[in-house]
Amino acid sequence: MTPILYPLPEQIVSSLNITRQSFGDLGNGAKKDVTYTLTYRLCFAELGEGRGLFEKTPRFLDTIVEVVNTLTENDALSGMINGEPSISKQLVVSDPSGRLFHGCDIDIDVLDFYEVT
Amino acid sequence: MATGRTVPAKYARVYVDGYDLSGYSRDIGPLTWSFAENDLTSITDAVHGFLPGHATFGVGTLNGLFDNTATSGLHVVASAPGVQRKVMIPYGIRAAPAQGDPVYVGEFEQADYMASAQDGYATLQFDQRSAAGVTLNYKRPWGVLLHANGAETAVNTAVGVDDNGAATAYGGYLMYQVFAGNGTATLKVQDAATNTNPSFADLSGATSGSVNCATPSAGVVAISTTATVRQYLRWQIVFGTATTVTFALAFVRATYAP
Repeated sequence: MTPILYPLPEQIVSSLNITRQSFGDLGNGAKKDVTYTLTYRLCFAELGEGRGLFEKTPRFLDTIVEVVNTLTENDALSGMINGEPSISKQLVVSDPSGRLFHGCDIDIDVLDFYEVT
Repeated sequence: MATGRTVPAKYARVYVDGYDLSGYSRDIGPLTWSFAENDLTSITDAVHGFLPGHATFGVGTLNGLFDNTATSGLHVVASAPGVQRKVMIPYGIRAAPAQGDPVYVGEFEQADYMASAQDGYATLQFDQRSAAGVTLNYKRPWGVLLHANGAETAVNTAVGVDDNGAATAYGGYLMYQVFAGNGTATLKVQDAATNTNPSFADLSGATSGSVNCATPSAGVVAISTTATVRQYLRWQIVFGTATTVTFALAFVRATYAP
């Protein structure tokens, strides 16, 4: 089942902020920025799987780089004006059942324009 | 082409003399367009009154990254100040620039080139419109992008763009930026009263002439200030010895008399 990348259930959307950018109300063309963070959890391999402590580490790190590169190089992720990836919780994460994995949390800081659907 | 707000840092581009400096640019501006205020106040007036005088344009300062990549890096392209630069800055609207997007163009003297020894940045200061810009006789820097930076291998049979909502009778000027190619070609602006392929015809005088596209270059061509420009505009290309040309093309339509 691994590796798997999924939206972190307890933190799918966080740091939601709406910032006014112009005068007026929305019905009359006011502009507002919406910023928020999407968090995805990468579970690469269960902790202790394989031989030795570091057997999974090289491919795990390669996978992180691939995911981050893909997000960084994609200028047109649908549903957002702009998105910049970063990594928060690193190296050891748990799945919803509590098992520990080599993994990390990947955050995407999103910018949306409220008036753009 | 979309409308509305955008993120300039992501979707604006900076083209200078046939080079795409977007990847080396951190900021440019302010993109100014202002008029002198001629004071027409008489001693009997209770308040000051002004009429607009001469226009002033400028692209301010380009803050970029020191980079000496052969043939394209900011240091290679722009480290020799004291020369005239043809600058085009298209604004893509929540996407890469496309036909119909707003674009700021002009010819400006590059006054200096200042590289930082500490942080890896370099700045270019552009003066207000150059002497060559003055001879254009147009007091408008904002136009419409007719062709985004990209390669073409065939003539244009697509429809154009409505940049004004109506025809005008005050001419305008084009700016082309040729980034790459393998021979000669001529870039043109065509206009039409209806937005269908057969309706388009060359806009008189709006042609680059034959350009050697193997070398990056840029040019500005003004048409008569009394020329009629029909409602719809599009790019066109006539291939000489070239079979592929990578270019951007913009047209600034004058909407009132100079």
